[in-house]
Amino acid sequence: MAAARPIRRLLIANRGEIALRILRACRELGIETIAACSEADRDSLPVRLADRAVCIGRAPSSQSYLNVEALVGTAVAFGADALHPGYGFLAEKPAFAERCARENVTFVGPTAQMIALMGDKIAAKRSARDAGVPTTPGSEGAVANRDEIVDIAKKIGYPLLLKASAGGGGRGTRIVPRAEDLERLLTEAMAEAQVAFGDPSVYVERYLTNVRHIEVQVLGDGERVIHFGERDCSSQRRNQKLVEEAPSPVLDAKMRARICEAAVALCRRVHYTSAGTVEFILDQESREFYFMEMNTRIQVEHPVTEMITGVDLVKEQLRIASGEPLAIRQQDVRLEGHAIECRINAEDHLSGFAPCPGRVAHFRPPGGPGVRVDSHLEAGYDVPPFYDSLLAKVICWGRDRDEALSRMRRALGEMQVEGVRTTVPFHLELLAHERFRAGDVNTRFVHDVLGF
Amino acid sequence: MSDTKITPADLEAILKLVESAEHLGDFHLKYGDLELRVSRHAPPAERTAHAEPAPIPLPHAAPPPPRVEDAPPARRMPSADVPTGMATVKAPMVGTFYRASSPGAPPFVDVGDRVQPDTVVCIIEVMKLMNTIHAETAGIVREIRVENSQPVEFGQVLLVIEPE
Repeated sequence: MAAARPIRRLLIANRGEIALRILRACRELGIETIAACSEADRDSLPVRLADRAVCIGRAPSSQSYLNVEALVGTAVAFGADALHPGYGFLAEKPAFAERCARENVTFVGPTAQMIALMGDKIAAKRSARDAGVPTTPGSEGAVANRDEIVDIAKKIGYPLLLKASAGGGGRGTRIVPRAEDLERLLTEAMAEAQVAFGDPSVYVERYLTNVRHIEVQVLGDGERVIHFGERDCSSQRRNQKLVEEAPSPVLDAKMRARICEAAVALCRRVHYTSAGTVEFILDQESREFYFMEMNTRIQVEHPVTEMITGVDLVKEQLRIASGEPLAIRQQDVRLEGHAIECRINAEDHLSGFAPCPGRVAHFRPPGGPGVRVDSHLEAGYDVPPFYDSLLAKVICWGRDRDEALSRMRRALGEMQVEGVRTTVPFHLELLAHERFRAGDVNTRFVHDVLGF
Repeated sequence: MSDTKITPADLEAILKLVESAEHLGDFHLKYGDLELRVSRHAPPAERTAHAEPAPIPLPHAAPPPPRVEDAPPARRMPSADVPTGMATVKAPMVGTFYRASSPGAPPFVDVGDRVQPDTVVCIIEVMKLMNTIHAETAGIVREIRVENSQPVEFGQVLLVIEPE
């Protein structure tokens, strides 16, 4: 566990809405804030609200938010005793956490070793198996031997997914529909992997298409691990989440308990500290769930969990980083009502979700009962072209899913963003679809049914 | 998609793969600019830091920079207002500003000094790594805007020089 000491001054090593989120938690805990910013973000809301602002580099991420020396150097030069990496950027780079530790700056997150363990997909799966957590049927790791792959394929059945182990981006990836297709597609995948990465090794996995993405929020202090229920993030496009909700509309209490206990078992085994999310896929055909990966950071969609449990996950991260043991017990965690989050991006969904940076001339956030908006948007804000296009997260809570849904429709209807295209119209279309309203979706829904 | 150069070793490996696939008659791979056909039956891819290779050795142990709270905390860095016609030396990185090569040593430059473009005017230290900063302009130092051992942000004006 990290050295126990109260945090007095914290460097926010991120931008946009999550920088604002971190700032708010610090404010409530009486922690002084320093906002590290690029030249493009000097006038943004979290930077103006922070106790101190420090420009760390030019706009491109590589010169600013991905610049380890600049961020840790800022913490050291400006006397910050802790640093919060937010999500994305360097949040899951072990070298960043390691550098902080070396400079005696408390990293708000798990240790570098933990980040490295979960960042290595093979090692993470092995940890899951060791903890008794089910993993997707397939090879234990990368396989370069053709005969071995044929054997595994016989065992796990079709359709199959072949994936190059030495790299990504779809290269060396093939979906194999039937046994007759294996020889040809395996040869192609291995050949492509050889050319692209110099290594023909591939993983083999059962290819599941009718799946939901179910993830469990956990907090650990090094000794205890507790969970805060699951989130269902099945509405995705190109592996990017669009809408998240909690609890999942398809889990009964028994299934919920099984999945959440599996997540806790994994985290307990590795003595996980700070906030984390254990991701599973739920195969709707077999009703089996399988571990996919673990994210060792606070996630974009953490507010839906906060809305149904009342916990402040970022404040809990700060307490844990200060060396405090978890004050919450598992039996204190209650799931009340239903929450949904829509990620509002500066994108045009009718043009392939093309990003639309520009000046926000006018912004009217929604409000009223059960409506939460996490956003750094203001009238006059220039959406920079250098970073992701997330403008705002709109989270609605209701006593049940129907109320949460109708509240979200009401909230998105009254929200106004003038000057840039946003995905509000897309979300209204998604929420209105009868299958979404019935909770009957999978991860291919946005593509297959909505056609995006 | 950068790695489309196919090496002889790659080709050999691919041919071995195809060879071992006994039931494969024809194999076709298209990848970027690369197209390969194999058949059994054929007739016959500023930062502009002036970092020294090694840190400048300090003859005495450098005292830790004073805690920022010792000075009344400024909310924002001092503004970059610069009189017209003047040149500036701006911080090329975040760090701690030092006017001399070591504590007790004389400052590199003072107000009123004449400097050349390659004159060292200060050091910015980032986690023990010393970066020497040069004037970049020939002229007279008119202002030194940062006090010794104060932290500076990227782009902050350190010196104002009247060009000659």
